[in-house]
Formats: sequence, C-alpha cells, structure tokens
Amino acid sequence: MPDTPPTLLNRLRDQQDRHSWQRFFDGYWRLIYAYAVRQGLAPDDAEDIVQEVVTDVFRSMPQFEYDRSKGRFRAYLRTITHNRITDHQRKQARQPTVSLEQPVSDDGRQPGKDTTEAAEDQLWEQDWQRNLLQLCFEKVRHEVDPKTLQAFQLYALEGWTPKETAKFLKMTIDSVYTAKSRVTQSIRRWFERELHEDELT
Amino acid sequence: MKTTITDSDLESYLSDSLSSAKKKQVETAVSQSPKLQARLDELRQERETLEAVKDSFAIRLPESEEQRIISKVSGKIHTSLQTE
Repeated sequence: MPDTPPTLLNRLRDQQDRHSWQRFFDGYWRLIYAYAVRQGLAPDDAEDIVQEVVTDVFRSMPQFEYDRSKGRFRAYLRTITHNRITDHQRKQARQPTVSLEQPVSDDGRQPGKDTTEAAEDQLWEQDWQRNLLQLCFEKVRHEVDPKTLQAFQLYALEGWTPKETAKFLKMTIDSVYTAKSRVTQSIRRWFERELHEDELT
Repeated sequence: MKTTITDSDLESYLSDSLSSAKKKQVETAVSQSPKLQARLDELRQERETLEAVKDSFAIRLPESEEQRIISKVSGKIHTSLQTE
C-alpha cells in the first residue's frame, strides 16, 4: 500500500525522493489508465495520459501548496487527468483521419456518449474506489499465509464450493470459511483506514 | 436440545440455500443469541465487501499486460523528465 495520502503528499514535494514517487506511480497509474480507457481512449493513448499526468504532478509538486478547502487530492488528480484527456481528444478531433461515422464535437468528445460532468465524476469515484480496493487487496496478499490466500481466491473469488476448496487444499471446511473471513475483513480494515486518511486530504 | 449453528449454516442462510426447516432453525437460533446475530451481521458485511472486491478487479488487466504498461510508461516518464 502506498503511504497514507498526507504523508505521501509531503514526501512528493521532494522530487529526488524516488521511493515516494515510485509509490505514487504504483498507487495511481492504474486509476488514471482505467479512467482514460473508460473515457474512450485507445490503450496506447491511455498510456500516454498516464505518462503526462504523472509528469504534470511531478513538475507541480515542489510548488504545490495543499489547501484542503479547494478540494481533495483525488479531485486535484482527477482535474489533471480530465484536462489531459480533453486535450488529447481535442487534438484527435483536428486530425482528418477521424471517422465520419463518429463525428466529434468542438471539445473533442464524441456526441452520444454520456460525458456530463456528473457522469464523469461518478466514473472517477468508482475507479478511485476500485483502485483503492485493489491496493488494499495487494497489501493483504502479502500479509496472509499462502494457504489462507489460496483458500480465499478459490472460494471467494473463483467460485469454488467450500467443500471443493477444502478438499483441494487439504483443510477443513470451517478453515475455508475462516480464511475467507480473515482476508475479507483485512481488506475492509485497510480500505476504511485509507478512506479515513483520504478524508484528511 | 440446543442446535449448534456454524458459519457454514449462516453462510448458507445468507445465500438462501437452506431448506425451509433449516432456515427456520437458523432464524430461531439467531433470534435467541446476540452472539449469533452479531456473527450474522459480520458475515453480511463480509459479503458486501467481497462483492466490492470482486467488482474492483474490473480495473485490472492481466498481470503480463500490466507489467508491460508499467515498464513502457515508466521509461517514457524517465526520458521525458531527463530531457527537460
């Protein structure tokens, strides 16, 4: 899991702190990429958006004065990401290769898609939460013993029955349930902790 | 005779896969035991969390594809910042 947001934000002001920048990248690239793809960008273009957003944040952090009253860090990141996507779509709209079957409006977006501010906010929030849950899951993966993790994956994620899981892993059915509970509760604890930290930023 | 209700019973109750007789048995036991009620609430919350976790995999790509993107984008960021 990356450092808690307030701590990480402070550390990112030092551009030489490679460890913190790596953590920032690891923690947010997937969110930026997924959001760009959901906004209709091709995978290659979404990769460019990740690069541009991370570079933008890198350049801005030394002068970054965090003001909670202006919004959370995730809103700040969303604004940068959104602006980069819009720029990209605008540039593409000027290119003659754009299909006539998919006319593009002045701001570069394809009409017919639900691109209202509220809908985009909702997409970002949904991806933010998914990203956070995945980061929490990664954290828990490294905390629990391999057999517990395997029981969780087979039973809770892959849909094996408790009996099948227990037989395959040579454990009791009760142990399968315990493994599922343990991993799920750990993910939830991490998630709540991160949400709480996010309230502070 | 007091019936023992296990996590397995409670899980089956929540997934609505018990016979009506067994379901009634679980409901009676839960109504008489604050401890069982608490465990049922806990399991209900777990199911909610689990659904969210499953949904969150929608943001992921296959591991090899993620590694390819990380490597490519990291390289481009490094180059971009070095040429400034």
